Amino acid sequence: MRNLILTFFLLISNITFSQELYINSEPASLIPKGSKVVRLKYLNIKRSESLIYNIIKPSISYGISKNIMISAMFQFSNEYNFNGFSIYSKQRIFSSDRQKYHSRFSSYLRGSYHDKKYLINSLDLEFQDTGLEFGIIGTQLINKLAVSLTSGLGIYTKQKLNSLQNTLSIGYLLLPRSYKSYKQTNVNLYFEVMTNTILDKVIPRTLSKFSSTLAPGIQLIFFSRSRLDFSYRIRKATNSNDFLIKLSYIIY
Amino acid sequence: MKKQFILILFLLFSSLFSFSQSFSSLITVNGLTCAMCSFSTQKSLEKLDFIKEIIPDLESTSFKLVFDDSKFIDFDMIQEKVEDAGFFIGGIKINFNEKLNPNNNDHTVYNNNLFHFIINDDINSSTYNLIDKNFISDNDFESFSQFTSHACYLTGVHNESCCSNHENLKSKKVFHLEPDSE
Repeated sequence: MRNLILTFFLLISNITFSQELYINSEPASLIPKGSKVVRLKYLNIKRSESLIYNIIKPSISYGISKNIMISAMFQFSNEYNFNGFSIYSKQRIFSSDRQKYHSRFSSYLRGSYHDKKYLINSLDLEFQDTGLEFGIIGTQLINKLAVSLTSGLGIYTKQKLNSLQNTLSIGYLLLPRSYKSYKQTNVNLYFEVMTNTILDKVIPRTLSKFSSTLAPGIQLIFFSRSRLDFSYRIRKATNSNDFLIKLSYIIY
Repeated sequence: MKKQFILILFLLFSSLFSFSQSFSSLITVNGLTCAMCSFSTQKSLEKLDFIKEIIPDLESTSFKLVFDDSKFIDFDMIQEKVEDAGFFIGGIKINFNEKLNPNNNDHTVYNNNLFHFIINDDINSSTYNLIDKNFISDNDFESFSQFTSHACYLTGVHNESCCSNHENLKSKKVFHLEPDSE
């Protein structure tokens, strides 16, 4: 046990860089001006032993300027074929950078349309609900730790519900210990907590006022331009966990 | 007599024409925390045609830029490209590959660039820091301003009233340098 604590402590104290390319949320940083990120996301939701949803979400993001980026996402699944899309934009509000350090604030806006519900006990504009979400993101990076807070208001138009959505994301880089080349594979570990608090007085019986999802994850970055993400999501409200795999590639 | 004449002619010509000299720059970029960020910055800098080669140092988040001697080097564009990638310039050092001995307020044409040297102590160096308004803090800019009365330090451009006789240059821009003490 003591060894484990010691190992953990050594691990933490030796991490020289931290990461903020979160898997379940967006960092306050934007993608570079003029660059495009193409992404393929696979979501596996197991409702029962016999019912597993396989959802595929291709998306593209574009850096319009150093202060604005936009994304478009489309959704397909094994049960329903094409069943929704989202658009997302992020605007940089504030940046303060020093060497290997930065604090950033951005605002974001998301619009989603999905015509199929996968998890009846949860609200999620990412893959199953229709509505709008807007809010702010703050990301702070100091040497060994990258922490991000996302706070937004979700407006669910079909259910006529409003909710406060807060996400805490923590990430750090495990490998490499020292940067020598763009070819080195990076390994990042993540832990994210997503919460949803319904603001309305009358709440449908299927939903609870407060719900949270815990999402540990791991990420590999190849050749400094391709990403492979894996995250397991523990949904406390639904007892129905899911996982996602995401592939991203940046085009300059 | 003839020999002396040729020698004088040669000296005259060599002082009139600036030979193509090579120089490079070391830029430190702030806010970079991952190889992906550095790669984005490198890709953004690669769009500048006056940069011949980019040598990154990922550990110290700096880039050595080797310039094309035939072109005007626009340091403002270097800053713009770094910011397009989402980051900030921490500082730009320019290496001339030779020791220069400028006096305060000397204006020197180097390849296609006009540099204005602001010297406040006796340092003989081949490396200089870019000290134009957008590259340093307001406080540092204020303190360097005390050593020059030339308007070009404020405007960033040369004209008749300030640093004249450079009309044949490719750009109106003048960059300001102070010797690097390190």
